Amino acid sequence: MSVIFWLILGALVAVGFAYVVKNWKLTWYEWVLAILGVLLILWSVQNYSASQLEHEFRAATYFLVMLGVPGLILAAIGLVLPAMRAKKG
Amino acid sequence: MPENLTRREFIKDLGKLGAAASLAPMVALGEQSSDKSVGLKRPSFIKEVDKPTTEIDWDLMERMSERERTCRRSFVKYVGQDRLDKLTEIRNQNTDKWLKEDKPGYTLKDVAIKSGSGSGYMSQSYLGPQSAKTPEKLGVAKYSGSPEEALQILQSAMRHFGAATVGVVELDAHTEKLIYSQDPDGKYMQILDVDEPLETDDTRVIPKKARWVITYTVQMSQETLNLAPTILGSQTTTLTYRRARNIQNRTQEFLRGLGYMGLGEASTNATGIAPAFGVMAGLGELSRYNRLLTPEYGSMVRVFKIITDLPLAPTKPIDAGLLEFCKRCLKCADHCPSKALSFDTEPTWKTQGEWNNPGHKAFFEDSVKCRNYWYEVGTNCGICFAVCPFASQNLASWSKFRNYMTATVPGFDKTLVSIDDLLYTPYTEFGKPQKDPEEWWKLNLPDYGIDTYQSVRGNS
Ligand code: SF4
Ligand code: SF4
Repeated sequence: MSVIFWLILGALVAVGFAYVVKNWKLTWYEWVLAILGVLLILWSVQNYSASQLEHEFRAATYFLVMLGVPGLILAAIGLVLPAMRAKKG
Repeated sequence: MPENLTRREFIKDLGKLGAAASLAPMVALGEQSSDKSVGLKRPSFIKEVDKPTTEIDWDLMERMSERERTCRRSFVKYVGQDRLDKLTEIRNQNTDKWLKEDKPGYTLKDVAIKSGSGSGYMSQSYLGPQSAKTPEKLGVAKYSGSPEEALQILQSAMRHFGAATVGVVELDAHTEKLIYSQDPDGKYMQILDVDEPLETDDTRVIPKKARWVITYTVQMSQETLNLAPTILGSQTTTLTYRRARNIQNRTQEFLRGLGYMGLGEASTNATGIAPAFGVMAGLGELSRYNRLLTPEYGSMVRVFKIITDLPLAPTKPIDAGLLEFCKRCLKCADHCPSKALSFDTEPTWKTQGEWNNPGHKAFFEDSVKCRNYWYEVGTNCGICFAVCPFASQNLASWSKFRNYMTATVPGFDKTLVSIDDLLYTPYTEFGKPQKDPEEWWKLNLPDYGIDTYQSVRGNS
């Protein structure tokens, strides 16, 4: 995958985290879950796109499911609760 | 009267000045680069070791005759003429039937590409083309770099010619046993205290001073070999052997140009036992399918050798956890249609037949069963190469994780095998290719179907 794609993705993640730091208050375990979740999502994106290049379409789908879904769940748990707290507060 | 410089002298002196000016940064650079290790650049988790992961008892080992003992040359000795005639008939009938039926992987276009892959190569010989100008002819001294520098330039040249990884085994009383006593064409291989190599009607003489065996791999196309055992799948092997002939010729000429000899393989699988040299040179480890398994390309390589008197720094054997992985993985043996591969949990000293060379602990294969199957499918099969978890293009970072875990946490090997099954190798009917050969013709594959950045990327 091109360098430019990763630069854009990296910038988006950085902006996202900057927003979270500024506006929400995360407990330490929410930070752990959010970071783990985002890392898993990024790993699944890399493996998915590389597997497409390798013509391993079955593997590509599995990477999305096996890494992407748990990543989304972890990130959601880590970010949804503080988002709700911020809304209430 | 001051002496004037002639135009020629002026240019010569200018050259010296330029050389001096450009030498300064080169010296500095040279100091930097001499700190770097030469040889194969690999991730730190691949350990260089003094002894290979394959146990060897050099006292038990003897030089073997390729001609008299391998199934390649002596299949008839093992099965008898009647059986061979029958198998040849089966092969011809099958391939003819499949061609006419348009069976995927055996169609006219598949047969045609195989013919293409098998042509357009330089002929190979022991002494090489012998046409490069030698330093003597050019009026200069022969190359005199250190063994480390020599290895460095040799690797650069050979990779430029198309080799994948390049290592060196130094011949001694032990490693000489890996040189065949007899080449595939029946010529005896003698190592003698002479100055020049020699080839007669029945002998090839290796001068004792030619102590270094350059051992190199050439990549096969993983996507193509996925189509094993079809004709379309097998032609990547054909193409690789033809490319290797060109690499051999070019390396022989390169060595001659430096002022040294390059004694090549006179025919396919000549000179010495390829996987054994590969293991000793640290290009990989011996695997369950009893061939070289490499950290960079897995099983997707063929191994070749050239003997030289250019002093080269030997490369060391490695431990990348591959043999350990094979103990827990049975994929190649499981998928082998002829059940020719070992299902043992540990390598053994006990050979399966005369085609195996005793003196090392391995997962010895039943070559006769394997060859029988080759006749049945009309190709050299290759399913065991294709299903190996390490036969991957390594673009997905998962592959790096797999290689790291293999080298560092053997307890995770079985899990890695299960994940590989799930991701890449759904069990197919025996002898069926893993992918649809018709789809191969629509893919946008790179040159030769290989990724020449694979090893460079793997180490970055
Ligand atoms: S080449 Fe085919 S028949 Fe021979 S060992 Fe490999 S899988 Fe088995
Ligand atoms: S398939 Fe498994 S057992 Fe066979 S060579 Fe590859 S890693 Fe080893």
